[in-house]
Amino acid sequence: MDPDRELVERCQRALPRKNLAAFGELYEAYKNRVYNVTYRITGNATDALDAAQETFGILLRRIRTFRFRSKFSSWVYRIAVNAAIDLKRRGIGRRFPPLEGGSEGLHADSIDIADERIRGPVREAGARELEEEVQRAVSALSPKLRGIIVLRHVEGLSYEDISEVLRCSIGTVKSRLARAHAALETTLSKVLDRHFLD
Amino acid sequence: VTRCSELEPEILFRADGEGDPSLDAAVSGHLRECGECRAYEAEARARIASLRALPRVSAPPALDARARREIEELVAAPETARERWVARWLEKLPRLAAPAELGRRVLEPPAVRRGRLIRFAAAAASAAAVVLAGWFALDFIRAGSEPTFRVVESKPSDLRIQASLSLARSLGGVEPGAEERR
Repeated sequence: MDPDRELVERCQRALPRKNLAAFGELYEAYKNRVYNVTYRITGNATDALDAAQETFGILLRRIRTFRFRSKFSSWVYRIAVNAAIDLKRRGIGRRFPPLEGGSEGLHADSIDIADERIRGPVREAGARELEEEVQRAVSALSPKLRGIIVLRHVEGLSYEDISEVLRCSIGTVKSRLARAHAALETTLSKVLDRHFLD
Repeated sequence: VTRCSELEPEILFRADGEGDPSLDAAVSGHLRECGECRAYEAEARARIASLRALPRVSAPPALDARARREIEELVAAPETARERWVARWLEKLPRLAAPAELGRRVLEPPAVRRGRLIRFAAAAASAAAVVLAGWFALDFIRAGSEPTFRVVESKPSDLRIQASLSLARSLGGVEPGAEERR
């Protein structure tokens, strides 16, 4: 049983009467998850905001047609991942400076890590630097691989849930994950050595 | 002999907590013997830990404002006739799958719709072929061994031959007297 079923059905009944209270509840339940996914895929706050807005716009317009063939959360994740990837593909998104750019490419404004709201508990410079470099490595992946890394390691979805979100087999999830790790291995190995072995 | 490259993915999935239990003993055995794979596993674990350590980012207040604007726009926008029609059916018959399915298909993006249309056309063509084959078989059985369709030999009428000859003559393709020879 989908944990969101009751709320979604309430929303489906209320929306034609322009009653948006139930949708407000859904929005509150999902806004952080959606924003987190779009932020990690796009790599910056402005694009993440655009993609998250688009996600909720699509949800609002299409929720009446949702038939619970998959979990509601999977549907929301799918829309969010696609919105973030589409934004980057259309070239609307802001580009990351190349990894090889050295320390001048790691200024906080490029990935908004310096944003007070995002900084959260990561106060130490080393940890912040690691976060920036990991985010940069994720952003250098192709959109498909980026999506799978975010769903697995940032959102903590199981392989089965990811296959439902991306509408592909578990074998495909595994092979994409292996490819993503192979790509991250080359970019992150030096960073991890520096942070964990020094 | 197990090659390291064959086990690499499984070592990664195991480090990620989603390893195949049936391969667990083989992977453990290999890791005990292979230092290179142990290093690969340690690095995979460190990489996964660094990804999981990325802090969760909360939605900024700006998203609330934008979402509210989106909602207001939708409430203010008049529904199209199609949306109204779909919504009415979905509301009236929530327990029946057919109208819901219809509504979903109508609202689907064109690419998805095209894929479904192709599948539907292929299914329809197969069904038509089966029906036709059945119909011919039934017809053959009913008529015994004698086929119901025969080749009818037709003789061209004199009038038609006459017309053809005069046309050919006017084009200069027939010698005078050909009609008499016939």
